[in-house]
Amino acid sequence: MKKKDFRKFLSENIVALDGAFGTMLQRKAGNVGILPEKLNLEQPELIAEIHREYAAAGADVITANTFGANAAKAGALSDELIRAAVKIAKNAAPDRYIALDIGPTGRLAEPAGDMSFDEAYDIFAAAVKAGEDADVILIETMSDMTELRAALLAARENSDKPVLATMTFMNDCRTFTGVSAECFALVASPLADAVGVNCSLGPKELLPIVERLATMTDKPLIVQPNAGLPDSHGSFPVGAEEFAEYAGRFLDLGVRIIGGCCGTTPEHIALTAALAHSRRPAPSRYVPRAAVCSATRTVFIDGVRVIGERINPTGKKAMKAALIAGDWAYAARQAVEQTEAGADILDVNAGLPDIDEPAVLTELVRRIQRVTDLPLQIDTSDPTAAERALRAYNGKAIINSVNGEERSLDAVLPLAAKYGAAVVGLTIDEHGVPQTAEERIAIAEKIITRAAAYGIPEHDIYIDCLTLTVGAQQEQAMRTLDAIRTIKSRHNVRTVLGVSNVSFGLPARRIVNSAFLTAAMWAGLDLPILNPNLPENMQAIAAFNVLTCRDKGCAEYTRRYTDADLSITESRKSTTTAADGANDLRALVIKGLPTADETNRLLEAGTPPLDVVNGMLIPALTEIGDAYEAGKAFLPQLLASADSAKESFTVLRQYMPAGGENKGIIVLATVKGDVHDIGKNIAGTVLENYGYRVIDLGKNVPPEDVAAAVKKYNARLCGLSALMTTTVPNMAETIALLRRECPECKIMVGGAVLTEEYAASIGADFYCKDALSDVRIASIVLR
Amino acid sequence: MKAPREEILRYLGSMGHEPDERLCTRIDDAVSAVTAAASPRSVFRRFGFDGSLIGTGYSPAGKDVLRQLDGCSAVYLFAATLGNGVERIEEQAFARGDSLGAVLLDAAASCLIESFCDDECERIARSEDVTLTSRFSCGYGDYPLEHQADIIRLLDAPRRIGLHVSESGMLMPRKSVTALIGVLGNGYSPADAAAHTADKCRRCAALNCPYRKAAASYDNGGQNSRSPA
Repeated sequence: MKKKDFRKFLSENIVALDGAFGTMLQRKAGNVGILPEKLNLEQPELIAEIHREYAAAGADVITANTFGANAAKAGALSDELIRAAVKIAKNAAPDRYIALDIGPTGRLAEPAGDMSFDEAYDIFAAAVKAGEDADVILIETMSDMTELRAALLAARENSDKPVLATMTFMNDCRTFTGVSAECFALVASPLADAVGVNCSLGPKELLPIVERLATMTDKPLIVQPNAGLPDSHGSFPVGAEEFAEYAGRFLDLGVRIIGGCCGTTPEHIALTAALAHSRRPAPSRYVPRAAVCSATRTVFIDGVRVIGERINPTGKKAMKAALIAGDWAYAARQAVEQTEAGADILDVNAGLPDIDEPAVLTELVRRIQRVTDLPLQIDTSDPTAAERALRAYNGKAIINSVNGEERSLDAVLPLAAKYGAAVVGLTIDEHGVPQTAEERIAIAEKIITRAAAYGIPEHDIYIDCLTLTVGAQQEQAMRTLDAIRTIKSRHNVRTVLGVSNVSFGLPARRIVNSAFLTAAMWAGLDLPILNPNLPENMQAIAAFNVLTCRDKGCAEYTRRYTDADLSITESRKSTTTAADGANDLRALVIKGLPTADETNRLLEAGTPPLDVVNGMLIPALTEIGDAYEAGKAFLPQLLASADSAKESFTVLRQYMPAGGENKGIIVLATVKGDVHDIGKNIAGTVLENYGYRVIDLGKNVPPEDVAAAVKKYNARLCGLSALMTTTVPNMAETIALLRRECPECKIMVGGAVLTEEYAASIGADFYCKDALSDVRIASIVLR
Repeated sequence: MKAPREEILRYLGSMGHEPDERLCTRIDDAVSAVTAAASPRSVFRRFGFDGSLIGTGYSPAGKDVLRQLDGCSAVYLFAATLGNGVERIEEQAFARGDSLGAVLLDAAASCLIESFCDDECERIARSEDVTLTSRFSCGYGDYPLEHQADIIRLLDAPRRIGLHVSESGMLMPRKSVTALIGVLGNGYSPADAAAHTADKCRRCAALNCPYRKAAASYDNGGQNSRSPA
């Protein structure tokens, strides 16, 4: 029989996949050793026999024995094993579709692990190329979003074959790394031809997960359950009849591709395939909904959702300085603060002149997604920067923005379509900012039409009707609201608006901002971009949700504001006043108590910032440091004081000339292969408190990156950490490279396995035995 | 799972430190936060043992692990993890400028993973009706860290519980444990059995280790790094 194109076959039929391969191998060959794919070369007839049994059972798709044949697991043999497997399968079942099976690498990807997106991509791309003779690509048993995305993009960009993608979930509807069914559907659907679940659970346990998935994806659903949960001897309890019964229930849910995973056999597949072939496809249960997500959290845009505006250097001196200096910790802190203040989505912008925007924006996205599970809005006018950031982002992002100019439409919409991102449509074009609501509507509709041509649905377009400044064009505020009302009445788009620009140049801006925000929500604004740390913004939204019955029974409002003292939420002034003058801050630091209020009080009372540093903070840190060294204070006390001093420094920095307290630059990194960086983080906090500028490169840092940073910042001291005996060689390698490339830089090292002697033997200048050693060393080197 | 305050302080090298009320609250908060963020999972497999794990071609190397398994004709391979939610809340704490919080979360997680392993091993011993030796992990004594990859592979740990090993032998998620556990035969005298199940700190050569415990048992928290001595 001549095979149809697989996509056409899938559009007309329910497709039967084959069942477990490992189970069959064990049945036939017993213990199969480290790499079962080696049998593709050693015993091809055995592999062919299993394929023939599944073909005889009625499977439409035969999965080649390539699950673990990627380069991460099979090394240099990978290519040969994959080619052999596809050939065996084609010969054994010439009239069936042959699937190239792509399983996980076995390594854990960033941010949790040490494999970068690019490494994963290269591994999968090589497998896709080696398997070019297959008809279908089956990406399966994934549990990590980075790895899944790398595999999907590698398949899409190196092949035109249909791509089926499944993840493996636990009972709580999440994968091991926390990916939910909803996040998976949002991220994978735009990149795959079919999405679904396999492995880990039996059919009964998978039913509720498939139910959730079914409403979330517009793509055909695929399910490959295990034959139940294995007992302690490794046998699977669900027999062929029971399995097929559940298969029927999956087909009722609209599942279009069905097969088996661990523990299933040709007997299971025979009954299941017969059932699949006797049934007509049930209609899809997909419910189109506006939503974005990170790897672990989905935000539905079915009410007002707050986009936090703080990670943007425009008009924000401290953020600008942090981006130029590579101070990622500052941006991370903004991310955590906005998350805790109740933002739903975070805008991320690195637009500065004279900055490598694609590189900085991408790094910013990587750093921020480590500390928040909120979805991100990638804010740039540079399409190259947007694409690089979209590749790095582990979820469904919003691109901010496209506008009505041809150049913008042609550059941005294909990116939104390819990565499945939502997109902000800015209602300006080559003629500039339109003065009437009608003109804005016209541009919005142009964007909507052009997006539709790329397959971007209306609910993924967020129209920005522009906030102008009432100080300059007073009547424009009402035009903006008119435009919002009209566009919402005509289209299923969402609307977005940067709110605070409205009051530019006016006194007491918050009063006007808050009123405009309220009016805009009543006009139909879904996504205000604002500062969630300002209470009146969140209060206006809470009130709106009460008045529009979104906050059912006023429950959320009551929870949040029952005990709220509105007299202090206006500005976060301290209610605790210092009893008596100068030594209080010092006492607060020694006790490890909050210091921001007292620091502000001192500054408002006219105390020069440097007096606060030299007269209070440094003496306090010295006192607690001495006590720690003498064994009179313990690590928790030292850290509490360090945090407390850092809080005060954060306030002081705004009042001090840039670089005023800078005693020298220190580059810190946890070496390549090592992801345990708690000691390095503590060192960073302590060093900053003593006035050093710390460039923290993070963990798992390649030697070249350390050398590059030392050169870039002309650092005279570099600190390296390693936890394991097995990563110390990478530390030695980093030191050797620094010696060659930056001979003037001194090196200090620390970590659980190091000793004074060990540190000397790998060529370090200094050994850090505890949390204060680095300060002593810095004071010698950077004197 | 449990994590007593004094255990957490010991992980911080602060034995003998009497925590004040504020620190006690913070420790308790850290334990609750880790408990909420963790998704503990474990996997185990039993093998016949004759110096190698029968049917696998794998033999543990090093005299220390072999001494530990001396006389055992069966062993369990065991792995457990708290998942990577714990790492995320630690990073958040650092990002917030709360390094004490981050360190307390880390120490609490180290205690909780050990406690979880204890619970799971007790469960195995009960359900399989066996007496087990204490856990012996890669990196203890002269049992090479490089064997971590073999254990992970034999347990199919990435697929079963989402536990991975890096090229450098580091477990990921970080708050995870793998171990070999011997099954003590019936013929063991109580004294011999005690030698196999006794407290690891007392058997360890690192007499000046800051984490060394006076009595009772102690497992290296989370990662099985070699002792610093």
